[in-house]
Amino acid sequence: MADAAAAALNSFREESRAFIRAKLPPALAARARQGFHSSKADQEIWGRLLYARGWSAPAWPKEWGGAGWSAAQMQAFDEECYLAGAPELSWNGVRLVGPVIYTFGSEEQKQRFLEPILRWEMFWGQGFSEPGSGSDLASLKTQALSAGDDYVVNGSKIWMTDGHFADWLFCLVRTDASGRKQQGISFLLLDAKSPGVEIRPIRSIDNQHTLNQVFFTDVRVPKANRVGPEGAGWSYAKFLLANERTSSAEAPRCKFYLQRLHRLAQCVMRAGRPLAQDPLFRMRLAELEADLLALEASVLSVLEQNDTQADLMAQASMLKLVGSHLLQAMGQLMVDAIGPDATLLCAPPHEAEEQPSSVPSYVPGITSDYLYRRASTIYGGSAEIQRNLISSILLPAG
Amino acid sequence: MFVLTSTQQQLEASAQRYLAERAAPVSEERGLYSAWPQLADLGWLGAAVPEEAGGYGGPVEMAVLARAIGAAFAPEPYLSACVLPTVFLSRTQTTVEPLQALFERVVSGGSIVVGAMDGEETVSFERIAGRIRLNGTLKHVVGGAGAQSILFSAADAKDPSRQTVLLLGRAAPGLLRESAPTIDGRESSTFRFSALDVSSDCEIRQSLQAFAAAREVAIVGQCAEMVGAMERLFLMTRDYLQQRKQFGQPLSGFQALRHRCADMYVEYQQSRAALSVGLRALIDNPLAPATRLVSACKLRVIKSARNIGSQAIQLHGAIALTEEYPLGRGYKRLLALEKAWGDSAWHARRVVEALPSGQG
Repeated sequence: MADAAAAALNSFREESRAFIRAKLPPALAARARQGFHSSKADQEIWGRLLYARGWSAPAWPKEWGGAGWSAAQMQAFDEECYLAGAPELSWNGVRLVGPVIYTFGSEEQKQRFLEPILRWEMFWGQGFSEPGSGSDLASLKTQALSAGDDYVVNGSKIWMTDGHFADWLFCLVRTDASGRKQQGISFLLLDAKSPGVEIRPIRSIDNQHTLNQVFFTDVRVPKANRVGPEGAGWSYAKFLLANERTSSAEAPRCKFYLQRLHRLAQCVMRAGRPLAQDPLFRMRLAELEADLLALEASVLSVLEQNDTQADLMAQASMLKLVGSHLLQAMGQLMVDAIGPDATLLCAPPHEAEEQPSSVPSYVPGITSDYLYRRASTIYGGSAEIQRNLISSILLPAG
Repeated sequence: MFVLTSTQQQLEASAQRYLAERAAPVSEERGLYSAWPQLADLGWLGAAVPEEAGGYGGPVEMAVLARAIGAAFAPEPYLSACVLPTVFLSRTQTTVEPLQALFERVVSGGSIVVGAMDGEETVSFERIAGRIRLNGTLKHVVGGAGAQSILFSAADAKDPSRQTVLLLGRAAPGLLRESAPTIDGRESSTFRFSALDVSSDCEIRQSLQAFAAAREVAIVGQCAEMVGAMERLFLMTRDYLQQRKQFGQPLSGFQALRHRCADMYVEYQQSRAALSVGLRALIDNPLAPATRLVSACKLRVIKSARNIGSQAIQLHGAIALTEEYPLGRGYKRLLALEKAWGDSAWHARRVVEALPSGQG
């Protein structure tokens, strides 16, 4: 990166840091630092503070209320948020459906949805995966049958993060079952309160409720809620993923983990000495730090390439593969650092005021997050799918 | 590897049947010990101890039961509340008469003694005016709630290299206990001793070697429990690969996934082999099992557990992240067993303890 650009990014970082320091409520940060999934209330608080600053959708174009930031600035800001303990905000509204709406939506859709998304007054659920369609997403079966000015939707979506606090859902639905499976998919926006929508909680192995299964039984949805033409859904899903090409590496989260590991190194005692003095721990930490430096450089490199780069998609898959595994390796070191305390079951802060006194203050959230992140190599395109994508570019079939 | 005798095979089959057929055993009042009377009736509570010492089995029987418990992801704290105390008591009862009666009550399920192992926090003792004063903390005592007594070692406050073994009733006035749930559906107690004054009857003198040996047996028991859990995760995954279809075919049709299943098989077999190394150490030297071999057993088993656990989740995909699907319980059980009674680093030190430190 050129010196001038690097200097500009640094002063942008300082500005971000100053804002976060001034505005992030300490109690909120204390909760978020534990690593449990953020409550809706905490997301609203922080999201609205960002909105007040004009930063709730900073990667959006200025015409839609965004700050027009570059991907590098987005990344830097995400890092500063994580390091300061800002709660993680759902990607569904601002980062996923918002860009689809302002890029492909009708005027009515833009007027109706973009402002509430920006203001953090509207929460969204992503309806993509189905019980029978995980990696093979294009095989999805949730059906939207034409009925005059409406669709009648039947089917089920699963693994919907924060579905239980969603006001609206954006779903890939099948409007045409006749041709190639990707071609009959449309992008539909649904009011979560519509009759026939049932949202069922799924408790995950991290002892939290973040995932849901949604059942659609004869749900009437106006055709006006379809984004773009019928059959465009698959391309919008690809667009949405391409937008998050570098953020799927989750480098800012890795940085937060590193900060946490440094703290654990000081707090955790082994055989009467801080973990920081344990040569085994130091060695493992060193390797992870080196891995993270390389990942960050890798992300910057991909950000600087243009869309005509032949293996850009392979690089995006590479980032996801590397980032997701690094997250898991760092989580493993955190669990190993706290040893037997990792076996204690801790509830998230919005479910339990206090932990038992035998639980050291640095423990809550570590195991819960470690268990949840077994999914980092599954969500957003599994590690196997990423390898398929890379190898299909390296070794085209036929 | 071990070839089970026909009696041992029967024990294994009956244990598997019992655990598979019973309804969820945990009740609010008795907690982890809800089914303890049934285990006593089945003869499980004496199975870790040889007949000549008053039991029904020995290390292999202990491992058979631990493995069955592991495969069932059963909640019973078999290792801390049966193996550790019964093996200890069977070796000390000959010298201390009241312990004989206690041993019989433990085997019959009438009394529950839970054993604790040193962690970062320790307990120290002082002999004062014919009594004993205890200070410190015992953490991660699985099954502490519901036990009548705790069995643990403490270090002399004046000379920490000197240790002794204590057996303390939970109702001892001033003994503070706090419970916490564990990730794998068990309960973990923390006992705090704050200048706690107890009768010198609580001390079981000259029993350190028996306590140390009992701990080695229990550690091998952990490995057996882990092998059982791994077997279930491996088979669950193999079955899932054949049932689940994506892209128009069962997952078992994809070569990359076939290889991963083969890798799980390899790790499972190696974990069984490692367990046999640990069992051999118990059988060859019951009074003082070779710690290098016991630790090598656990170290190797942990490696398999990490491989099998993470592969099992990855090959299942998102469904493995749900609490409803049984895989997660097994994964968390493996993690809990890995971290209790010595993690990889702790056991690695014992494997290379005998390594000469080199010339000059």
